[in-house]
Amino acid sequence: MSEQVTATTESAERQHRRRYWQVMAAMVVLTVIAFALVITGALPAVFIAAILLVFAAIQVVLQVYLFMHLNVGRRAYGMFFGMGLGVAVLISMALFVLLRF
Amino acid sequence: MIGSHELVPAQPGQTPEQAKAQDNRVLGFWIFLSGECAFFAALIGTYLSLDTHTAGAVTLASLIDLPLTGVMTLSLLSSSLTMVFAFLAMNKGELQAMKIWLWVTALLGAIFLDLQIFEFTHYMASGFTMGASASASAFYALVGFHGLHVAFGLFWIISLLVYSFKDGITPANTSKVWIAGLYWHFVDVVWVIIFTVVYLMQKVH
Repeated sequence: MSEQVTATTESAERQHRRRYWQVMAAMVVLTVIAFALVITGALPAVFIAAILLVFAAIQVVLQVYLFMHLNVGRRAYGMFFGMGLGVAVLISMALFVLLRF
Repeated sequence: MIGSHELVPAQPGQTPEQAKAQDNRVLGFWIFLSGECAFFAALIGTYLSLDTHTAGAVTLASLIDLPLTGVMTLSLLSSSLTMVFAFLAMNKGELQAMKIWLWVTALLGAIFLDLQIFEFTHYMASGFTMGASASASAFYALVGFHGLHVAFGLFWIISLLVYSFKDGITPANTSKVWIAGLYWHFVDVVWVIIFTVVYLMQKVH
């Protein structure tokens, strides 16, 4: 019985470890692609900029969900953090539009 | 997915009050992080709106060395990975392994900080000083404050290592590691945005 419990914990731990490596690998791949795009200038600037923003968004989601485990624990964690992110997007967009144009 | 019991593991002998206190600390920290989002958003917004105001001085685009930025990014990304490994080790009750992973995290953070100081020194020597232009001021405010966050995270992790585990892994210090980890990952998240918006975008224009 206790052996079985240990075995389950062992494999769960190994699973977590593998998932963390996968997240890390995904982030490195995204970073390398972003780099390559910028250095080679393989696409029109607008497309590159759009792709860079999408990649950044994916990396943020990966970090927040898989490394910081926002989806685990109290719902209030996500509510507060989501609120902060919402305010953040508003502030940066507002400053950008107000000062730039 | 990972069960909540593994996040801040219930320690043998942990009372319900202690578990609740742990939960409250984590909640408080998420609230702090949402404030940090607003803080960095203000700096990013300022940078975005001023990055064309170069006042005829040296521009950032001509100075950025993407390979250097790439190495900085890799060191910070891998420090996030070593931070979760520290946490996995703590869940298994392996004090030594946890300490080693935390030291590795601190080392990677120190590498990042060292490269950033090198980068700033180089920029300043090339005439891209804080007072050179509005764009330069906004750049140093944003990237400099991020660097200060990394420096604070380093100080935090090292002080945890020095002061917090004299009695091993206890109900009192598990959430300390988790919260320091949240902070560290958040600093990494901010870097992902800075890396994209400031460094890569400059080279696209």
